[in-house]
Amino acid sequence: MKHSVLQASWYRPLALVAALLGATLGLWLLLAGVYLWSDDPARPTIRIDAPELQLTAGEGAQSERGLRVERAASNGLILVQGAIRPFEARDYRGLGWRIDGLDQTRELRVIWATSVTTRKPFDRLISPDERRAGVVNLTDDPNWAGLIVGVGLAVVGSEPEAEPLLFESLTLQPRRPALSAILPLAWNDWRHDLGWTGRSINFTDAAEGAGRIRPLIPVVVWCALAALIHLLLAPPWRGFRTWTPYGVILLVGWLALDARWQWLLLERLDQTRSLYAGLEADERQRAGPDQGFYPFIADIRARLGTEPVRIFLVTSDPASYGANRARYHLLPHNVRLSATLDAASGVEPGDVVFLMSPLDRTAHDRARSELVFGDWRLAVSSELSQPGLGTLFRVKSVESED
Amino acid sequence: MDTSMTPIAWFAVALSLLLPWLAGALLLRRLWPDGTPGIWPLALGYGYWLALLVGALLLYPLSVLGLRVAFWLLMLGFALALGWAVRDRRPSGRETLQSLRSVWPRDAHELGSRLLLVLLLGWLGLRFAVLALEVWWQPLYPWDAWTTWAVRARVWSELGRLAPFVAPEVWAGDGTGAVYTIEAWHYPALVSRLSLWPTLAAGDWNETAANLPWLGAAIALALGFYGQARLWGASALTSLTALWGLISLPLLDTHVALAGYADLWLAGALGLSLMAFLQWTRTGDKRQAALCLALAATWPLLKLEGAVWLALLVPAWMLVEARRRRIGLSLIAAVFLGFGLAWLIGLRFEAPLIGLIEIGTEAIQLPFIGRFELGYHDSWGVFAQTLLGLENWHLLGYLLVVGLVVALWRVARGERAPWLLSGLALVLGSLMLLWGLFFLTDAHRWAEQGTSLGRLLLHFMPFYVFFLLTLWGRTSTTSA
Repeated sequence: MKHSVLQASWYRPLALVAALLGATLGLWLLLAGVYLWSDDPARPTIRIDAPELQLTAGEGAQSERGLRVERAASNGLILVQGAIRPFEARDYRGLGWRIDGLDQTRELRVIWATSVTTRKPFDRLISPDERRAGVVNLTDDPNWAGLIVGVGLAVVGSEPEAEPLLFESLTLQPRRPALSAILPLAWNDWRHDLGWTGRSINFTDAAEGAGRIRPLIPVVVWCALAALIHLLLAPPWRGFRTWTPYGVILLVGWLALDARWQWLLLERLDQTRSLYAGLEADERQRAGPDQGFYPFIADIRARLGTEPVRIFLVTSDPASYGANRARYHLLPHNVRLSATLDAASGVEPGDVVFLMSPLDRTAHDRARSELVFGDWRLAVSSELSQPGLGTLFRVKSVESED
Repeated sequence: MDTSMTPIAWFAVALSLLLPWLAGALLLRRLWPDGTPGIWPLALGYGYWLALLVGALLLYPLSVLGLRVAFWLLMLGFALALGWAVRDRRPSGRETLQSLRSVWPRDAHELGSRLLLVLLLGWLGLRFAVLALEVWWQPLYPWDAWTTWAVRARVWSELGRLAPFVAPEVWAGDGTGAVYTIEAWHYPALVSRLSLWPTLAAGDWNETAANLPWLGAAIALALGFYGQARLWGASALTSLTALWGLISLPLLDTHVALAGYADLWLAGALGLSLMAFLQWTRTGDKRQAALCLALAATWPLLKLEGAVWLALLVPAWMLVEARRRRIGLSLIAAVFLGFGLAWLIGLRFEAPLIGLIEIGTEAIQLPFIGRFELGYHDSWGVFAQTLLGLENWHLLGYLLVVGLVVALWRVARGERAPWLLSGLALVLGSLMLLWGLFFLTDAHRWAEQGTSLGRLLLHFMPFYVFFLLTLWGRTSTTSA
């Protein structure tokens, strides 16, 4: 490039703009490639291996390499079906296969059933081209629609002396998005948000479960592309020694990420507002994730009074969310979490035992009004109970071990 | 009981935070002459942190009088301190207006700069508004808050005394109910007392009141950061941009919105302390050294790992002066050699009053910190993902890598500014400590589960942003 052009006052800003635009175009092309050729985690390629193949017509058995079919049924039909979970036809474009021993004398058909037509499955003859490719595209078939509940292959016209067939696998091929659909898909992934979760405090991964992209990586790629283009357009060895354009590139990238994060914060705030705004402290607990058991805990607090008592909260998993939330809601009562009790637990008459459901190591001997922990027994009186949640007992006396 | 609050109670809660804040800020303000750029934000930022930490610390010895008596005594103390701080300082309205105008940068002549400043301030204001509303509406949310930090605060608030939390076996042996227990009973108590503080004003436990100190901490951290950036010599626009970089970090925002964890407190105390340290290395300003030491003293009182992070200050301090540098480097080498020797031979002894110390090939056990089983674990993948792949830090992870390269390159080229050497030592030292923890001990499990690596990195992020700002300032002037 001519020295006079490089020295022109308009060159630097133009180089920066060109770098930004070029990076944007490059990123779009990369994203197009990613969305066209990579798997969508929500609709991945489903590979049905031999152990999951069922022989519904014909004779054969599983072998090391696959499902080996020795003989066709009496009508010359071999039918192999894949064990699948139902899926929407719009998410998958067709079926692939790996079969050894299939010759041109036998017809190959793909068979499928929908939730509406389970008793009358559809079938379609696979063309020679499709047989050579090992995949059949069903998107043009009007019957490939709705919820697909079964899919398989039929081999028709097998002679008794025909070579055995080896079915190694079937593959359900996901649909590739159209070019025009890539931008909306990328936008959805960009905006995908799990909301506040228990893991939010440890790391921020709002886009987990999104289609294909995590927001940070495209921005990093964009910044790198923009920096590279600018480096080529305004190289330091030609006198362009300022860091400012690279700072601008960084700030634009940062702003893109932060604008997204701000949007997510606003959406999460809206969820928080809709759940809790205007509610008093007690009402928030009754509206929140503890609403299933908080009323029972509140009843326990009312029963126990304001003077703190020692509570032995016995639960099968003392580290669980429910147990620890119950302990928190019972404060300032003096709660100790444990999976069981014994003589070393320090239970005293007057203490309270809260058996939180579900339990597997404690028995309540109603006849003797005792709690049984293995060889150890506690004489108790029942105070409060809620089926499915637990029972509150007051300790009357502590028995010695049998 | 988590009670609904009257307006008077909310006024008392606001007073419980604002009075110490003002007292701390105005006391600090007296230390600097008028006209120093960034001094008001610095005073407001550090004032909140120091005042609230001092208040929470003093609750412990004064609690013999009863918690509420202790609290109001301390508030009286803050009021008196405020009164003393404003003595002889009754600026006229005109002077106040002029001092506020001095906050507006004199160098922001261009409309573009002013517009950017306004936009940045607006963006930050929006961020803080959203976080404030989350704190206001969201019940206590994160796990460790309602299993540890807020459990103690709530018990103390509702009982009106600092009931001791002991090991489960000690609790079992005490039938009186006078002691409590939780799994993390041995964690430092300062953060729980910070949570307790505003509830003492409220008169009863309230989750929103208990979480408000976290919001104040974030705002004060922002002010302190901005003030230090301006004192460093960065323009208002550059300082505010760097501040945006800090406050925009998603994981930091999360620790404000889902208040209740101790990590934000350690991040702020560590960050503000190290910023002051870096200022001291550059200017020798003893006020900054005092700020550094005052906040550093709280690190082990906030979280157990704070005691380990204190070790970072030693090599950083040794690199400050040229004449100490060789001695310092020799001492560091000697410490490493000694540690290596102890590790090979195996060292195990019971130190009086402190506890068991063990250094060996199988495990390391240090008092107050804990026991770690040793062995190499390949945590590069999860480390890279946390720093460079997840949304925790926007682009800061990448910027940090670039910044380290730039800093090392400058040192290699012969630059020996004390602040550069110390800053680099602090950043590299922190990364080495994290590497040691997550690659050489059984703490690697926490990294794999994703439960703590991000939070430990958060401790250093405010300082990392400030360090990058110091590099940028020098880089932008030398490359113009």
